[in-house]
Amino acid sequence: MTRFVIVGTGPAGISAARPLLEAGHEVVLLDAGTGRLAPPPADRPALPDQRRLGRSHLLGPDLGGLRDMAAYSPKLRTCASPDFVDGYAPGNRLEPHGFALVGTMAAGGLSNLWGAVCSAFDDDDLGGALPAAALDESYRRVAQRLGLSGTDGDDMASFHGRGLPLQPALPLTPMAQGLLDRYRQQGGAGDFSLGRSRLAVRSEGAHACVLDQLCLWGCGVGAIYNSADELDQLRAFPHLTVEPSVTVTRVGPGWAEAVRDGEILSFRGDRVLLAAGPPASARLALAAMGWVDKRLPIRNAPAFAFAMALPARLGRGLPNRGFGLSQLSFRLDLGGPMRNHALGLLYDAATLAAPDIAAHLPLTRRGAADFLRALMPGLALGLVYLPGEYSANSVTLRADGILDIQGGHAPDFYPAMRRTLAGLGRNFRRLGAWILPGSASAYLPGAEVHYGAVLPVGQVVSALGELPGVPGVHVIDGAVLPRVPAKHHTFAVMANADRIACKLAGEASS
Amino acid sequence: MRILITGGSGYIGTPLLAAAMARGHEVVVLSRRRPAAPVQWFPWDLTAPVPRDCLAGIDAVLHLAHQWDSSRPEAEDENLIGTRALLAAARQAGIRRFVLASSISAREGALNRYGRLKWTLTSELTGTDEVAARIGLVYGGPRLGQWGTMCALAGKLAILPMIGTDKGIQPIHLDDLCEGLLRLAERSEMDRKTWGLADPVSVTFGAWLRLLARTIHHKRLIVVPLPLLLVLLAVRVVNALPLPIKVDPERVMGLAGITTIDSSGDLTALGLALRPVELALAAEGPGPRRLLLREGVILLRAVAGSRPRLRHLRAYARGVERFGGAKPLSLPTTCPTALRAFEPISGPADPTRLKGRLSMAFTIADIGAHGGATAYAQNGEGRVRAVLGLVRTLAVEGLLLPIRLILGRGR
Ligand SMILES: Cc1cc2nc3c(=O)[nH]c(=O)nc-3n(C[C@H](O)[C@H](O)[C@H](O)COP(=O)(O)OP(=O)(O)OC[C@H]3O[C@@H](n4cnc5c(N)ncnc54)[C@H](O)[C@@H]3O)c2cc1C
Repeated sequence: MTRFVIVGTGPAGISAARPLLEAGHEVVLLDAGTGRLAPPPADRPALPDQRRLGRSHLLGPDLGGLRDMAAYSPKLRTCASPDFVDGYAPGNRLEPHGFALVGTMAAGGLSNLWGAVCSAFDDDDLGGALPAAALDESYRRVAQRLGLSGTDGDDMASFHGRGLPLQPALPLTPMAQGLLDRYRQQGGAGDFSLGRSRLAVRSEGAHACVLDQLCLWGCGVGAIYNSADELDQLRAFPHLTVEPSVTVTRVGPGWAEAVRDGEILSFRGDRVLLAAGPPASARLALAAMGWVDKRLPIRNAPAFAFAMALPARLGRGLPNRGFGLSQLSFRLDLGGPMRNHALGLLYDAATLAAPDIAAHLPLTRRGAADFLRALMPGLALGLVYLPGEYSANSVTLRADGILDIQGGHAPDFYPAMRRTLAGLGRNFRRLGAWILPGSASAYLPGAEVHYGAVLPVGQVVSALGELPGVPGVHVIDGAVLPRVPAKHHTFAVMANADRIACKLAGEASS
Repeated sequence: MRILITGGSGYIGTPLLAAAMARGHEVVVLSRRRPAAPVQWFPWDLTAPVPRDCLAGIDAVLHLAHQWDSSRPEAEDENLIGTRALLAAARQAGIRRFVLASSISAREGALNRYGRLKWTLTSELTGTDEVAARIGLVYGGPRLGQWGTMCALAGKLAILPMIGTDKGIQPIHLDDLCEGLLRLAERSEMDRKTWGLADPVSVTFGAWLRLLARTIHHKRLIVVPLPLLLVLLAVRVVNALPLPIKVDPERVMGLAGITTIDSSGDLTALGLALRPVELALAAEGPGPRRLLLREGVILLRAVAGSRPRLRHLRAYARGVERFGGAKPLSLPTTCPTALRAFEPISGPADPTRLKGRLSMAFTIADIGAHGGATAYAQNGEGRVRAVLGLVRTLAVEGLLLPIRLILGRGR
């Protein structure tokens, strides 16, 4: 029996722990968090009823919803208590500059509040360093664990990945359904495709989505995948040890050093797997390799948001049921010297909170409420991601042990954003939808939380994520992705962790 | 010491009692109403004979009682009669220390009866330990008496026409006054006949009212001076009319006849350092919580157009306390509708400033159930209403935009 020490219980850490435990190995899970984000009550009234009743639940835990989080995902405001994301940077000695760093010290990591959008990376997305075929098996296993729902029957299916075990797609809101129907009638446009989003949200079984539209305020029934839930399942394995509240500060061959309540602890294992989220894992890895003052690129998928109106739906009612995550996905070819495409998501505005939308409107708050009321039945919010090549961030491990993170957009990000907007405007107009002028706004670098490719497989680390010169220490989260494409990367991160763990489990057993 | 306080249930008497007791004095009270504090009390008004037992064992008398309305001729005023009776009784009981609460306006030939009465009584204090305290404009504490009237006056209107605005007044905080009066009772040597208990530095009455508006009400007040003759004429007219209000010309004359005294020597001799007026007034204003609630009413109305519910208001105050630096804003206007003209167009929603606070208010209003405008027409408004609403909103916002560009700058 081989002993594995895994740092982090987010999607990556849990994806590695499962195959190792199933293969009968001993696993020690170290997590800096004391617990997970408390899930909301399962029997809460649906969003429209909450709005009728004026439930302060909508103000988030501890009134955290009143924080100014305009630059971030609204979920940080509505789901997380204010201290949820506060400890990550100081606890991991990360110092972001011009970079909206989001991380957490909690069981389940950021999957406590993620958007659950999943796409499989193809060969292009992996930049050739890792054949997509090497992940096929893992994608299937992970899809099963996630309770992935969606369809193989539309234009986005091949983009998200075909042939995966899927639960039936969740019902769309009338606005999204209308848009998709128009798209189907008109056919694709070559550079543009539209289809359902692929989501780690269960539509079947005991934890099926109850369609209460409250996703933005946390899932009460466990329909949205959260690796904290899976951690609870894994506890059934007798050879698993979970160590909460330990912040790993240093790793080396066969050991990890951590602090708990000021006390220094040491953990031994045959292998140490780092899954503390890309920035934290990168710092631990760089320190282990002794790469001080070496500047490395860290990628994110630069993003922007826009609002779009479907005039045909003006004056209609709002949906009484549905889910509140991304309804539709779209893909737009970017052309130009940069690689491939932009990926976008469409949300139904009625399932979001008006203040988050209004934050990007030049109207008065009162005017925005009136304006949104009129538009809401036909209002979609778009979130568009560009490939990581449009990001220009870097990390440097300083001699004092601090990881300095410098954020930035590549110079051609804004031109690309404008081109993308123009292309989208054209394509959506054909479908009777109008991007509101002036509504587009770029996220701060990093705010979309698709971090990765600091220590790319094949360039820095081995195919199994092992650090050069530090045998037995592997990085298994987004940090070792060869690329950060426009697609959401967590599904690929989980599949890659699963792949590495399966390989290591096999090696150890033989 | 055992101290007799007359008028011990009034605006000054109440805190004076408490201060005296806190210093370990035994207190006996003569007043019309029973004082709140558990002290020995004798019901008395100025026309009644002095109760026999009240002076037993008394070391000092603090005579605060004053009757404002009198239907008698000035020479037979209740205050003269009562004070003389009290003074005589005190002398007879062998009490040497007698402190008369008098006023800065106590002057021979003062414009108002109050000033003349106090002058007359002061001149009758012939004993070595019989003194008069010339008290300035008392402020602070519960909004009672003249202080309460002034606070209300400064808070009601945006523009206040007023007489005597250029007269200098010399304020003294209620607590400082109590301290001063007690020191007069306790002092061993009485080397002065009158003691000025008032700020040596005077402010004009107009400036005082503006200061009250700013510190107590957090608003700006414009004070317009009125000529005295005109006002006296107006008072006559009003009083002649069959109206439910009557204005006492005595009050008008009191304002018109304000004078100043030099109190610095008296204060030094007493070792009394008066608190700085502005700081003391700031402490008299509502606490930050109340200011935040008030701010919440305005901002929530501005974003939702309806009177906010209490729980919305609480959420606002708590939100600002937690995430918005807890400091109330000084709003450019208290009119919710007008506030829209000041809403900045772009820039971050800093929760310590107007834009961020409005966003906070919007987030609270967005949870619904306040009867005002919400961003969700769950059952649909119908096409026509939606389009009309949109056109109207955009028209209003279009008009507001250039105004906000100017007024919203830097907020
Ligand atoms: C609002 C939001 C929406 C998102 N939506 C999507 C989406 O739709 N699709 C998608 O693919 N991705 C999405 N993401 C990103 C996704 O959540 C992350 O990619 C994913 O959680 C990364 O998993 P991870 O296991 O690598 O790291 P994390 O989830 O960050 O977990 C890190 C773990 O490591 C632990 N840890 C950290 N430091 C230490 C330390 N020093 N010692 C010990 N333990 C430590 C933490 O406690 C935690 O358990 C979203 C993120 C956010 C914030």
